[in-house]
Amino acid sequence: MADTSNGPALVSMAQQFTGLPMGSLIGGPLMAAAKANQQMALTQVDFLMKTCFTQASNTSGGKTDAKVYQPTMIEMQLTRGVITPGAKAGDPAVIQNINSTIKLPLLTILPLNSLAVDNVNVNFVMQVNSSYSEDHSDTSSESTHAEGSFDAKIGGFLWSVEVKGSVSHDSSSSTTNSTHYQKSNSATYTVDVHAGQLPLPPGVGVIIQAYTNNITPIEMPAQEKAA
Amino acid sequence: MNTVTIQCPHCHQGSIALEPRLLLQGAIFTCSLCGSGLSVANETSTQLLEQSLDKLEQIKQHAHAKPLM
Repeated sequence: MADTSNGPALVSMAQQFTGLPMGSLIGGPLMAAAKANQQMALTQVDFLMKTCFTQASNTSGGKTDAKVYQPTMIEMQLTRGVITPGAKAGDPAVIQNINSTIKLPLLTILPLNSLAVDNVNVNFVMQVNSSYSEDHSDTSSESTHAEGSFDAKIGGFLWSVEVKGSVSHDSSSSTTNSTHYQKSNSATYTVDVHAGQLPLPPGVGVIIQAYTNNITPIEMPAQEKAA
Repeated sequence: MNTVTIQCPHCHQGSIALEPRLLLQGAIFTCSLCGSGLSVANETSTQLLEQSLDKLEQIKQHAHAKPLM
């Protein structure tokens, strides 16, 4: 491991993560999902009250109360078979279709479902890399080459002096020092939101069930005669 | 398919499964027990049901298309 006593300090991991707004990163999408759910619920309630109900004025004791909602009804035709015995003995029974008109609350026919955000996934991945390395290498090479020669020559009558000398010296030295310092941050932030249909709230279900249980056909005399 | 099941208005014991969009096309849905048929009676009710279904569909489409933030 590299000696970092004299080199640059490594990145403090705790310091890197301390500054992160984790509250916003996690709470932000959740708050947005809750807000979206609230908006969708309000939209559906508004649809129910404006489409499936009609506002009627209820006057009681001379005071008019406008906060009375009556269910919007649509007329449906109910066809059922009635077995009529033959006019005479031995005549086959006749099946007659009798049509009745009933009024059905619109609320019971619409395929209502609660729309809401049912799944929120928040993924946050942060990677902090910090590395420091120092390579130091000294290469020193020295070569000494000494060469000496001496040649003396002394002469006589005709003097001759000859001196030869030669000295040679070679030296080389090299030093290599490399330092590597690297730090990097990478972060991935993913928010996955899924909105789906949830079962109706129990209160709405009770209202629909109450309307459904009180569907009663209204006989239409004219159609009865025609049948 | 958005099927809605209601109690049979005639026998009160069976159930009638309705497909609202098919009701608009004049389909008749029968009770699983007594065989009574149910359909939309007149044009006014058909238009009212169609408008309501369209509005509900718009709400659902808007909910799916709306960005979260």
